[in-house]
Amino acid sequence: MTTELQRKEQQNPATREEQERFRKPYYEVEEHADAHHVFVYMPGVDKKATEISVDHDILTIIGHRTDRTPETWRPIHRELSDRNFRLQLRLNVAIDENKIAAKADAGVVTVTLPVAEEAKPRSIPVS
Amino acid sequence: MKLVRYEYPETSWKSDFEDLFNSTLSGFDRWPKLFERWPHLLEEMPGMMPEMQLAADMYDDDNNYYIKMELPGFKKEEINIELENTVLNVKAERKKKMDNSERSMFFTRSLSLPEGVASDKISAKTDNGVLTITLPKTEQRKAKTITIS
Repeated sequence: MTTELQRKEQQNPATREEQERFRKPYYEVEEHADAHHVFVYMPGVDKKATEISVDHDILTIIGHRTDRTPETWRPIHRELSDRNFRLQLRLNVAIDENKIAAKADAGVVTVTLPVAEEAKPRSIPVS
Repeated sequence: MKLVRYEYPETSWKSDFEDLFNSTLSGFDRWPKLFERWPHLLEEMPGMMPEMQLAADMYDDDNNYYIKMELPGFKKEEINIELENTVLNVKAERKKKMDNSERSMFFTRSLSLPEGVASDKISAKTDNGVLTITLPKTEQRKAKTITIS
């Protein structure tokens, strides 16, 4: 389930923004001593349709909707949005970017952001 | 068929970046972000987890009606679908363990079904957090082609 993350530094988000409007997913953050976990709720997004990138201090999570409504279905009443999801978070804590991991289950993407060694709490013995 | 129109508030992609950790917000205070879709609830019940209305789509084709709802993170055991006369009730409850506390999310939606649903043949499935309920039409309800003789 764990997807290897790739740094997509070449990607220019501005051009994508012009093409597409996104919906901001609901998310939760859990803090731990060694890692932070971000839970991003993106229903209708297959794990293969999830893009995670880090550019400087901005973590971007994009989820493209993969649940297609069959063309033979006639809409009677619509409330749900078809938009793709995008969440951008500023990493204002030191993160080991090379070790970011992600998994997806039931429309929830869990991104694990390992705390950089230098930012981990240390106990300093009194001599 | 009675369905109350749900106004979906569009979130602008232009919103500012959010900090992963905002020093003024504890983990719990972050929770109300869910209420971006239901901002009025937050004002009424800060810190509380009210029962929330699920948004739903309804479709049909020649053979079935279809209801779609978004329930990311819910296991199928946590979703309860009940038919009471012609009203379909969908309830989803999930408990999430936090470091030293537990909180529950509770979503619900009731939908009046159109006439002509074969209520004993309703089926449901979840896929990537999207619940799809299939409601077969009874034979009489299906579109018929009448040939001119």
